[in-house]
This record gives sequence, C-alpha cells and structure tokens, in this order.
Amino acid sequence: MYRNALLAVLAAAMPAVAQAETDLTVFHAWPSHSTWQTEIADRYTARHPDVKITFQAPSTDYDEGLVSVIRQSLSGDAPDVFMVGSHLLGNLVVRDMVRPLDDVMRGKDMAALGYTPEVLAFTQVNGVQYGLPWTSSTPVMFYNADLVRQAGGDPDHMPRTWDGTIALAAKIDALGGDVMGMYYTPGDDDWMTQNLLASAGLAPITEDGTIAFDTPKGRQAVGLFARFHAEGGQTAISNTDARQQMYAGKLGLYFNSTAAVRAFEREIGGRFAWGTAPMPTMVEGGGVAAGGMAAVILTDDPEKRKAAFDYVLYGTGPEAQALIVQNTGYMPVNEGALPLLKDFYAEHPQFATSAGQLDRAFPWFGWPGQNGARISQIVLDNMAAVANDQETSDEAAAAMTKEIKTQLPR
Amino acid sequence: MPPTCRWSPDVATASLPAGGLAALRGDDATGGRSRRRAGLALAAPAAALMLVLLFAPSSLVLALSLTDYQFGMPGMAWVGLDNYAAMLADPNIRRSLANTFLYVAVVAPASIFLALLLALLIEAQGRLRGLFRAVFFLPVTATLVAMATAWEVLLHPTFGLVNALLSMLGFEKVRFLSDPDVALWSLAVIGVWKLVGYNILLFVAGLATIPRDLYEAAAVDGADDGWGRFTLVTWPMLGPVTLFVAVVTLIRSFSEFETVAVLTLGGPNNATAMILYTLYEQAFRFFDIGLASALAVAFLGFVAGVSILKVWFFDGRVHYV
Repeated sequence: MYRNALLAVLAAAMPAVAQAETDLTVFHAWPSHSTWQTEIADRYTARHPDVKITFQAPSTDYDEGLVSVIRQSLSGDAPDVFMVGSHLLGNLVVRDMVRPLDDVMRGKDMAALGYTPEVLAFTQVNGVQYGLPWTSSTPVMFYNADLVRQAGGDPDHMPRTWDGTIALAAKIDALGGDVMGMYYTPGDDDWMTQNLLASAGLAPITEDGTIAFDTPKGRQAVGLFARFHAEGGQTAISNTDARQQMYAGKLGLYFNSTAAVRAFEREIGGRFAWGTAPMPTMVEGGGVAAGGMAAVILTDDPEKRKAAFDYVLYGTGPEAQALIVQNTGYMPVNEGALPLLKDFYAEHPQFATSAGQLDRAFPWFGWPGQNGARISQIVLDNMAAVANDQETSDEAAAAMTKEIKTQLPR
Repeated sequence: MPPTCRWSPDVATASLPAGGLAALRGDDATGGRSRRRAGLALAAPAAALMLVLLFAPSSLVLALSLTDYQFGMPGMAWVGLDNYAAMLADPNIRRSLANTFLYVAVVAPASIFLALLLALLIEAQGRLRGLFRAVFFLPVTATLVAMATAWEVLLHPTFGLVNALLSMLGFEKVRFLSDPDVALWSLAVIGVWKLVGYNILLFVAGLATIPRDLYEAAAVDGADDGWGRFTLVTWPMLGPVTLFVAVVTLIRSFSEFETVAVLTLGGPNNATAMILYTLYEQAFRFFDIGLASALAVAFLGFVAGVSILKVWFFDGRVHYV
C-alpha cells in the first residue's frame, strides 16, 4: 500500500522534475557580445522557466573558441550550444563533433519560420544542415561625409564601382594634412580578400574547381588591393591604427564588416558626419562576401538537442534578431525581423546598408579540408606583401594559387 | 648529477665482501646504506616532481613531434623525422627562426650592457637613487599586455608621440609596427625596455656585495680612476651576476611572445614571427600538433643548450667570492 502511494507520488513528480532540469550550456566568442547574448537567454528563460541556460566565459575570438571547444570535447564535456565562426564550421564537421540537425528539424517548416533557403545554405556543409546562422554580416563602405564633400564627392551618392571609389579616395588623400584617402582592411583572415573576389563575381573556388586567384578576374581583384595603396592613398598600417585614424576624422573611406557600425556610432558620436554605403563592385553584378557565426548543437542527448534547438530557433527568430541588429550592426538572418526593425533602420540608416546587400551576398565560404586557417594565413601574408611592395599583385596571386593548392585535399 | 656516482647497484654490493667495500669507501657499510636511503628519501619528492612535471611532458612532446597528430582528430600516424624536415623546409618557419636569432642577438647584449651601465650610473647617483631604481623597474612590474597597448599608442603611424616628434624634427614618419623592414626592430626596442629594468636590479644587488676595501686596495695599487676601478674590481667581481643575467636574458629574449601576439601577430608577412608565436600558431590556429611539437623540441634544445653551456663552460671561469 505504501509502495503504491510512493509510486503515485513519484509518478506525479517525474514530469515536473524532468521539466525543471533541462540545463543548457552555451559558449560564444567575443566578450563584448555577452550583454546581448545574455539578454537573449534571459528573455528565453522568462518564457521557458523549465530551461536553465548557463554561459561559459566567452572566448576572445573565434579561433580561441574553437580550440576551447575541441579541448572540452576531448574530455567529454563540450558545451551544448556553440556559436562557431562561419569559416570554422568545417573544423567541427571534420572532427565529427557536430551532428546534422535532421533529427530536431524534422517536421518544422523553416520557410514559414522566416528562414530563406539562402540563409539556411550559410550553415550547410556539403548540403547538410549542421547549424543555423546566429549572426550574419557583409562588409560595407564607411565614409567620413565631411571629407567626401571637401573632396568634391556626394555622400548621398557614393560611387558604386571600384574605379569611382579609388578616384574619390585619391581626391580625399590629396586634401593633405594627415588625411588618408582610404583603408581597406586586410582583416584577421581571408574574408576581406574573399570580398574583393566577390566584387569581381568570384567565389574563392570557382564552379569548375579553379582557385579564383588563378583566373584573370581573380588576379585583377588582387590588383585592386595594390591600387588602393598606389592610387587611393592607403598606407599599410594595422586595422587598429586605421580605426583610430577614422575616429580622429582623418580617414576618408574605410572598408570592413558592418559589425563595426555600432562601435563607430559610439566612438564618433556627433563629432563629424559619417555614413555607410554599399560595397563597390569590380564587375557589373559583382557581389559581397558574407560571414558570421553559426549556432551548432554539440550534445548527443535527444531531449537536450530538442531543447537546444528550440533555443536556437528563438535566438535566430525575429525578436532576438532585431535585438542583435540594434546591439551590433549585424544584419538579421530572419525575414521576420525586418518589420520589427523598420523604425530603427529609418533612424539609423548606417545599420541598414548591409541588409540591403543581402540579395548579392555570396554564400558563407570555408576552404574544404582541414587547412582552412593555414590558407587564411597564406592569403593574409601575400596581401601584406602586396601592401608593402614586396610582391606585385600578379606575383601574389600566383604565389597564393601555388601555396593554397598544397593545402587543399587531393 | 653527483648522487648517481655515489650509490652502486645492490648486486655489486652483495657480490663484494662487506668489509672490503667498507674499506674501499672508507666508512661503515650499514651506516653508508642508511645515509644513502635518507638521501634518496630526501631527493625523491623533488625527483618525482621533476619526472612528472618536466620529463614526462617533454617526452610526450618529443613523441608527438614524430607523429602527424592534428588537434582533436581521432587518429595519428608515425611519421619519423618528417616534421623536422618540414620545419627546416618551410620558408615561414625558417623566417621565424631567423627573426628569433636576430632578435636575441640584438636584445640580449643590448639589455645586458645597458643595464650594467645604468646600474653603475644609478649607484653613483646620490639622492635620486631610489627614484631611478623604481622608474627603471616599472616595466617589469607592469602587465605587458597593457603596456603593449601603450606602445601601440606611442608608435601610431600618424599621430603617435614618436612620429609627432620625428615630424617636428623634420624626419619622415615611420610605420613602426607595420613596415616589414622596421617592425622587428621596434619589437627589439620594446624588448630591451622590458628586460633592462630586471637586469638593473640584479646588477645593483651585485654591486652592493662588492667589498669597499677592494676599491681601496686597488687605489693603493694605482687604479684610482673610474675605468681602472671598473676593470680591476667591479667587472671581475660582477662575474657571477653577469653570468646569471646573461643566461636569464638569453632565455627570456628567446621566448618572446607577448609583444608579437599583442602588437603584430607575426606580421606584416611574417616580418615579426618568432619561434614561440609560430609554435602557438601551428598548434592552436592550424592544429598541427606534430609540427608544433617539433618546434617545441627545438626550443627546449636551445634553452637546455644555453643552460648546459653555462654549467660546463662558464661556471669554472667565473670568479665567485
């Protein structure tokens, strides 16, 4: 009799206990992101009291985040949800650390939830869905409107081609003083170089499998970087130095991810007029590179996977995406966020440029095989050699082709 | 290691008549054995720690350097000396090694002799001695990462203080950290700045231990000018300190990492890559643990080489008081 009563009590308690104990560990890069990452989690758990979300201390960058997750996964305690840099997703796949989302995505109408096929393709590897894009960005042109006007340009109609842009930069550079015409950041990896290729209508590996640097247009795209220095007045300084130069009002045009827009707003304030404009193109119909971070689920526990996916759906849903956009300058990955952002975009047009480029954004790109980071470094080194007159752009393109070939899977 | 030659294997002890052995060693056999036991027991904790913390990891690194292990990948294969061959064939790694040796060749002597000179000047100074000691020692106590940011501001290519000064004096501005021909030298200057304070402190301590009467004796012998006092008394008496400073400085400049990681990331185009940064990059960005281990072995070899050179070659030639 007692036993039955005990069982009844247990049976009644079970679901409640199971509900209260979904514990998700989340890990992301960039400590500066923790405010809005936490905000998303707080809003989610307010609606789902049965879920508890714990954040691991954020890593300083994407690379370090990946190292940490690999290490944790070797010892069997990887985080349940991980925001991986788009270019590093392949590293998780090749190590078998992440399973496709097929199990949790079954029966969900992703299109109705606001995910376009293009956005879903961002986080596919060989056509398999491994995650959902958590943030997404494209590079844009930032300009100092005062300097553009002084040089005879029109901030409301910035040039759309590289030829026009370089000509404008040259005029700004000629203003003299400590003013620099332009700075196209080489970045921390090969993403900004991918963007030069995209502006020439090329993916880093073309459809027939050629490395883009090995094509006439690819060489011309690398040549753009040489022209920025030779004609546009760019000097080969570090990105940090260039940013300080921009904040000081001494840089005309600056090219980098739209994610910088929030920092610009904070650092420049109302000291001078500035704005963003679409990335110029080299050829008619040229595109822009896209990148960001992908939310992947690392746990194997089916119940946890379900809960984790629900959280990822919330984070990539309209409300959370609108929050991310306003906090960072990234663009929304969910179409449902656009109506929510209408007023914000009207007030902050600098934030809207990137979203306006989405139709010509190239898919996220990761080099096949496991030498992606090495290839990024090869590209960075050769672009630095171009910037410092150690190599001509054709020599650099040839060197990159040759060196990248040795790093790709045979 | 002296202990190894003191105790012979038990087999040898057993096969010899106890009295004969005791006679050979000149002490009582049982007393010797308990002394040996006590010695072993006293040495054991340190030896065990050394084994666990030093020899085991080093051997593991040595073993890994002979494999193609990729961080986090399931398997690995034995590749013999391939990683070492790759290390010597890779132009970027060769560049990194060359940079490291150039950096050491500039930074080590500069920071030793500058420190010696400054220590002599500071000690000759009367009232402001304490202030100077503190000023020069400051870089040692400050966090280098924070200080590196300060250097970044000082060396900004357009409005850094140094460039402002240069253009005021009519010179061209210099891209201190982003010009491939200059960047390594900029890091070397920062390296000297970082090491000199520590070295000054050691030299000052060394100077304080020199007995005053030696100078008096030297003066009686006719060495009463500064140079004479220095060559006859100060310099020889500073021998042990100088040797220690030299070894520490060599090893520390060889292991330069922070300034590279914070200020240049080894760039532009590998102009400032040095061995530890390259090792880090190979292991934690490229995940090539095999190659990184080979670099680690080379690094260990160098550090061990300097230490052994110190013990075997120089210790005997330095005058200890």
